[in-house]
Amino acid sequence: MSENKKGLSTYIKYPLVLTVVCLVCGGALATINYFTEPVISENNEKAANQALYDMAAKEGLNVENIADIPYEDGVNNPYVLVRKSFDSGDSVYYYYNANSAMGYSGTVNFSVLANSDAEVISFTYISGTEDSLGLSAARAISITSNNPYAEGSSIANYSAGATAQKTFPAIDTALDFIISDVQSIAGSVTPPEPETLETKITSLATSIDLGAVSDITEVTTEAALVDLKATFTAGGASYYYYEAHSETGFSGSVEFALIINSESEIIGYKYLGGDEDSMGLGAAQTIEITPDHPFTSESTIDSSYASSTAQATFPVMEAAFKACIADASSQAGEASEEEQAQELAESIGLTDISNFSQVTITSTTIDYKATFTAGGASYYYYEAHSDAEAGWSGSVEFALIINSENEIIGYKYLGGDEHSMGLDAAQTIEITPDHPFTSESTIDSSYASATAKKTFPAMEAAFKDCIADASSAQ
Amino acid sequence: MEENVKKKGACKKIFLAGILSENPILALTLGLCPTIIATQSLDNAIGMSVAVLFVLFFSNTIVSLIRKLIPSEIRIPVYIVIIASLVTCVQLLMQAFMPTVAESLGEFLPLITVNCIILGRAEAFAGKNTVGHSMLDALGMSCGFAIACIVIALFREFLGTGGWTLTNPFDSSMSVSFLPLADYKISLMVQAPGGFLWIGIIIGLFKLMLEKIEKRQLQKQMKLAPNK
Amino acid sequence: MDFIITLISTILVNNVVLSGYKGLCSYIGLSNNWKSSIGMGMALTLVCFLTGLICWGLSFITAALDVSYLNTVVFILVIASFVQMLEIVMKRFLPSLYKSLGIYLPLITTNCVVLGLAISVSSMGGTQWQDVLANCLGVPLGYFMVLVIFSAMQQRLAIANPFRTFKGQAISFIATAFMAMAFMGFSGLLS
Repeated sequence: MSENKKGLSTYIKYPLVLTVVCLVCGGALATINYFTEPVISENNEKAANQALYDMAAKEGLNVENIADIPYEDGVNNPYVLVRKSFDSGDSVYYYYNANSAMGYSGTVNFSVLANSDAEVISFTYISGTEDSLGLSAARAISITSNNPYAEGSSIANYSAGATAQKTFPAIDTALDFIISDVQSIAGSVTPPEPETLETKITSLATSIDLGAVSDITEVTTEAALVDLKATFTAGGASYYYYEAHSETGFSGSVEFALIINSESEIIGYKYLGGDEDSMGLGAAQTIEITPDHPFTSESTIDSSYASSTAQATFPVMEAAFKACIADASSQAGEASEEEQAQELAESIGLTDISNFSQVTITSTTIDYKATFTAGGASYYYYEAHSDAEAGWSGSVEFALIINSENEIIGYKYLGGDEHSMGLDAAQTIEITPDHPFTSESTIDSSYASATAKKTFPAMEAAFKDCIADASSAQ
Repeated sequence: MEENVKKKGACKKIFLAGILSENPILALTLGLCPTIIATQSLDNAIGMSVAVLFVLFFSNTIVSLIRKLIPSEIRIPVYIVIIASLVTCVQLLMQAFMPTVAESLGEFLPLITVNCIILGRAEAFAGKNTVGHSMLDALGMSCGFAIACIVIALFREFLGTGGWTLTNPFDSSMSVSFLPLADYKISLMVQAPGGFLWIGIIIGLFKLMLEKIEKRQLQKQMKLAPNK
Repeated sequence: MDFIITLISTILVNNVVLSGYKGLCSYIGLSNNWKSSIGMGMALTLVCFLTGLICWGLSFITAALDVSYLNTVVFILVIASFVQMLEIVMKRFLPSLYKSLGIYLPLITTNCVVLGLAISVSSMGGTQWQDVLANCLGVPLGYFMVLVIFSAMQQRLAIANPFRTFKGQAISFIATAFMAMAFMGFSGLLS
């Protein structure tokens, strides 16, 4: 070998070689671990659940209605990992998978069946980190219904091998805990009820104080984002219940439940879940919609303060909300017009409303026209909107009742896409039989706010259009 | 022609050495740590032998492949890292695909790392020989280990449980048992004293057998060249 | 109190050699010479105690990083480097002891006792530090004790006259079997 060939200094070469070897080995191990880890955890899970069926079979029990009974937060539970109940014939049995207390150098994971008399009637060893002698002793533990483990029993076995001496008391401790646990829940356990439509609607309706819920009927729907639709009545009014999901926001969709009233306003919202990015999901859970702060087809969800990904979530949720509203209002269609007319008529003091019939219209500003009689006189019911060009930035939708003298005696603001100041102003308009609006009236806009100054003239024009239509019909 | 015969002879020699004259457990008494647990039952014996075969074969091969690249001052730590990683591989694979075997071998699976056989062979043989020879050596040693474990396990399990039981390692519910003397079992045989006892007995008997074989070989050689 | 109980349990009841089947290579190989047994026992106690505690600490780190499968590799590297460092230190400061130990000091690296201890304490949590300490102390002491007892036995076995092929290792094993049987009697010690 030529002496001139200078290799790397030993202080660099040796650690370098070692590091390379370590990295290669570590990489190989990480790969293998990546592939085997799910299999290993699956094995453990299978073993745990298999234990339930195996033990039940050994004791000659049928297994029906397995229900998970999770522990509530804050409850002291040092050993039990899984708690389930199942029925066999008329009796309820309990299945526990638990870790023992610390034995010699580890714990033993085992499964037991207990009957409702708080006796452990079957025991199966699953796995353990305990010393091997303790583990083989644990494997040999035999508890059957003929030889149950009840309160006060002990499985200590002094002829067991060395470390097993520490294992048995540890298992004892866990078994005693399980027995007292069974005593506390036996008899009071009913397997948790699956959520029915009724419970879901009732809980959401109660949260917004709608009162007792009745007449729940599921309705089929073709709407793309809607997963479930139902109608129900509460407190004399009818509502829609929707379960829907948004389209993909940042990386997934959000699922939610809504209650929509007969005015096509969302008055209740509940977050159900979704696979959207976690920030989006978190933001979705902060949305509050109540009867006092409803969400209508003009509302928006303010996303200006939303966190990064939630910026993408809110718009799709908004769109989904509006899709539900559209679905509800298209359903409402004709019925709500009649109801609205009735409501408006009653609010201005008309009684005995009947003979409601829709009239076809040809006007561009009038959306809906109908006639009805009340208290012997005949009236017109109009739903119309002001001209968007004439307003500030949009139109205002409203409902009117016009009497046979072509006077508007009732007005109701319905909505619109006019500027919000104009919409607010439109809501302040009051027209009653004592203060009717005629073809000579004007809406005083001198105290109106900026944009509303443009809204009122537009509405005035629309009102007069309706009056003209009513009088021409006569 | 002669070189081929020589090569063949060398291969056979290396392989047989692992089983007979250099049997790791019975002749060299290396790698005793997993022996007692491995001889507790036939399933354990087969499982442990497979694990040792895997680790020994790959460690010999890898060490032999990189023997020219590793400076000799740090060869021991490098061998140790390689062997430890291989052992962890085996452990993970066994836990995933042969969970019952991994369970009964328990903590002795990672202890294969410090099994004198593997480090010893890596140091003494693979570090200085070609890949082919190292592989053969690994196979021979593992066979020797396996044979020794199985023979001892045969006795221990028969006396300790009254017969023999074989379970499918991949599917622990399938098992065949042959338990003629189940009522007369001596459980002590599958515990610590039985293990030590039977290892001792088999080592003694094995040495006797080796003696006889060597005597016969010597006689054969003397017959072939009586005048030397 | 817990500490004492676990200590006694690891030394007598769950002896690492006779109940745990570890450390057999050096046990069989060493007990011929009782002087080297004592040296080996002391060195092993030191190594076991310190590496046991170090590995216990490291197991928390690997668990936190979710790489517990690297435990074996990490532990064996720690043990190997620790023994190497111990060798260097002993050579410098305790040369006579170093000489008397000879080859047995580097052999501690491949001793199953040390790695076995490291692996068994790695599954113990932080709340069981008393058990961990008792283990790290008790396991090598148990090994030490068995080594010393057996080397005394070996002196008797050396002058005994078994069948010729059973001389040496075979008879040592058989003798160990009886010792193991005797130690099984301790199993009811701590109830």
